[in-house]
Amino acid sequence: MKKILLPIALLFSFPVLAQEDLLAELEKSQTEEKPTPVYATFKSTRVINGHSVENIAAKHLDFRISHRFGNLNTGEYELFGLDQATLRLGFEYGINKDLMIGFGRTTVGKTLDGFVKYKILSQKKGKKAFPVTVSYFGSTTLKTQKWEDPNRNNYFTSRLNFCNQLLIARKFNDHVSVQLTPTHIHKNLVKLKKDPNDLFAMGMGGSVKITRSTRFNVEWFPMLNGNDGKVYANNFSVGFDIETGGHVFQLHFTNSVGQNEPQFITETTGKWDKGDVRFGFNISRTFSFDRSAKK
Amino acid sequence: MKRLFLLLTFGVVMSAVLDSCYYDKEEELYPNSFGNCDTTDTKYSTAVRKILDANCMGSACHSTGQLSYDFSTHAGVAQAANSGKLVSAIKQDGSASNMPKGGGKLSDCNIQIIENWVKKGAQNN
Repeated sequence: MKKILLPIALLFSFPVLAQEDLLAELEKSQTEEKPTPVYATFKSTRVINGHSVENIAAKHLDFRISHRFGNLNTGEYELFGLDQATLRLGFEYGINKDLMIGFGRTTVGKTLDGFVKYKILSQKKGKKAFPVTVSYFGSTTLKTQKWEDPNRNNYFTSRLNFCNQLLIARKFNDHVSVQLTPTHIHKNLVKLKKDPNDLFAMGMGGSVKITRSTRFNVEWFPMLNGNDGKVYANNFSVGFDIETGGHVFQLHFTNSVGQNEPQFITETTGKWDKGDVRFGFNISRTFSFDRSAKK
Repeated sequence: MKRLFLLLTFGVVMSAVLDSCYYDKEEELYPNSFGNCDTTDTKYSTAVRKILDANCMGSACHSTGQLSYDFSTHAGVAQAANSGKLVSAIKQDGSASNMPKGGGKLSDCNIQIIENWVKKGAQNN
């Protein structure tokens, strides 16, 4: 046995020597060209309605006020929809640079929502470049509105909807970023027997730089099942990001009124070709709780 | 340690979330409010009694010895039914005091079931 082992050991010792040389080479080249993560794929944690791959910085709290107004085609009597404001108030917090959590409340359906977003992979350039950023987004929404028919046997679980998303984004350069958002939405209670409880959509978003502090965004969430187009339409939005100091203003036109994923992806009734378009804006203000940064 | 705590929290939250995942359809859970009102069963013992128990006996409204109409027995219900007041009250058509008292109205389907039973003679079947 020993007779066999010795030649084998010798055989392996040579490559080890050679490997050390190679490792030294590798280390040298790595320090020269470290992979650098790509930052600021989007300006905000939202593309427009949907989440982007951006996270709130660690130990920072983001207070978000998002408005959606009435349809533009309600005319001047309703000041083109401005008389019918709906709102989402949200508090969102960065636990570390990759993980953020948040909760909020939307006027539509008096709905509470809670979510987690985790950055799984980051886009990197240089050596060992990686082409895309991948994040997971998961949320639960709780509709607290009174039941239409309080006499029937209503269940608490019927108030819950869930959303799972993969956010896959690539920043091509400082001017153009795109995002693909495969989406799964589960509704505990749907209306008809033929309606699916699990709904799928393939979200797409894009952002183009206009000036140093402004970007133009587009977002579309085509549903892949459960939508015959008669009642519900696919969410489609266009908008601008305007950055001023600690604020990011997002102004947009959208056909959705709900502001959590199950609502704007699967319950949008407005149709662009009929003029059911709403004005909306998101305001975001970030507060730092990072003591180490202040020193 | 911090990471472990985070992972554990995540696990607990996720399992709570997955446990509360249901595949309910309103059409199956509440067939009566879906235009598929089942009025074939208009028997007192099965259909009518169920509606009365759920809507009239609560807060001791129409139970024994309370109000003028005692719905704990068939005789009491039949008395209200045969006078026409029962149907008027639940249809809230104005010729009797609106019922159930204190807001609300029975679903169209439940009204239909009771009305059919009354029309067939309010039998104790």
